[in-house]
Amino acid sequence: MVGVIDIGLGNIKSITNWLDRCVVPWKLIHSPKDSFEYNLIILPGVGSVLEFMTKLEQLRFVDYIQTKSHQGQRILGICLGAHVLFNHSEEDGGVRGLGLIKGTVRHIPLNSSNTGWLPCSFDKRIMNEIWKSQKQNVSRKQRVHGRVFFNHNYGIQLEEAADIDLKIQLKELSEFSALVNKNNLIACQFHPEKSQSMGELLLKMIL
Amino acid sequence: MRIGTTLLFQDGYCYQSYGWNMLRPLGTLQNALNHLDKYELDEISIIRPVRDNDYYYKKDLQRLKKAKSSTPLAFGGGIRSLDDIMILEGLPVERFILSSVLFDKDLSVIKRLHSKYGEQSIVGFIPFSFKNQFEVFNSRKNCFQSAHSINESALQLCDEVVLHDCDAEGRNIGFNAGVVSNLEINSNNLIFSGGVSEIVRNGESIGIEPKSILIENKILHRENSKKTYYGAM
Repeated sequence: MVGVIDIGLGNIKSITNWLDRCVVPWKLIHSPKDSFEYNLIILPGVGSVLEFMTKLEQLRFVDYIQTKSHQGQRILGICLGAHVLFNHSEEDGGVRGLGLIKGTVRHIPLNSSNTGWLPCSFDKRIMNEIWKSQKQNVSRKQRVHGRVFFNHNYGIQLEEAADIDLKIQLKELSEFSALVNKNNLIACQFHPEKSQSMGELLLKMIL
Repeated sequence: MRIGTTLLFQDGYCYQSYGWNMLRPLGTLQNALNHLDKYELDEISIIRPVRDNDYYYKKDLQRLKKAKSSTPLAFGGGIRSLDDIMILEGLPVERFILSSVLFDKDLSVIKRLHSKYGEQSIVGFIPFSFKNQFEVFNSRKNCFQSAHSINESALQLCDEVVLHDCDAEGRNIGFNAGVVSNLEINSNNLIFSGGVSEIVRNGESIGIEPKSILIENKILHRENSKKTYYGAM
């Protein structure tokens, strides 16, 4: 069962549609009192960080996420949901994040947002090893190539090494991470829920 | 450059528009999205072609909330007040398209969207005509106006701006890229729509490289059908 944190912001419906397409059972987490045991908790995000963090604090999800993370709960943050996993974001004049991964979210050096598709490739063997995927099919090709969808003005800059640190494949954004895995935490800058077949493959590898 | 499409949507049904005044029905929203998902487009812009009176905003949002698509979606048409923003929550969309509020002196609507959904989520939409002179369409007033009536401060808050050629709408060629010089606009953030197709997307006839083009449904289906046919040969 996958839990999706619902604080009334972001594209929750896109996330649940993605889970439905992958035939993954899900449940919305409306309150930090939710005591269900999830295989994965998704922190979605389309929005601005100040409003998002304020809502997380108001609804007492800050303690919930931090406690769950320390207990080893697997958490997937998507776009803004990924940004808040880090120490600090420059957006909205500077906002403190949850501090679960050492890094900073900085404005990307482009005239406008990085909106669009970029090529991406994964080695399934490495991903499966780190994410301990339940389903491993060794007869299939191990390196998968595809494209993923980005829509952001701010990007992740890591302070420490992570198990997986996939960089954004754009010359100007090579300092920013597209995907970070640190122990039980996965921070995904792109939108796997809108990355068509590549997004579905990614979810299968995570689970 | 991204390649997407526009999907006109009102009162539960999708339409193909011709010349800004004639609509041909395409079916339900989910049916249209299912067909477009198969093409693996870069984006779909769902636009409600509302004019001065907007009776179906809430009903259409309810329908849109149920829509399922694996393609990035933008939604616009009818987002004109702070109350309209309040009921946008829970939509399966990543970006919001604004048109009428670009004419407002009051920037509260666009600023609220900015703070709630982030600056990357705002797309401006400017329908234009260049029959006798360059004019832009104000949907709320249901009329064409001088381009000077657009609030430049509002435009600057948009992450990208769609220039929609009303004269060439429904055709595969004819987009008038020359109009860019008539607007105080950042030419790096433009999306071209109306009278564009894969045939003209590669630069020469357009002159400017847009960030994206929105190919109309009719053209998109025809070109994809052609590819499939030749592929079968």
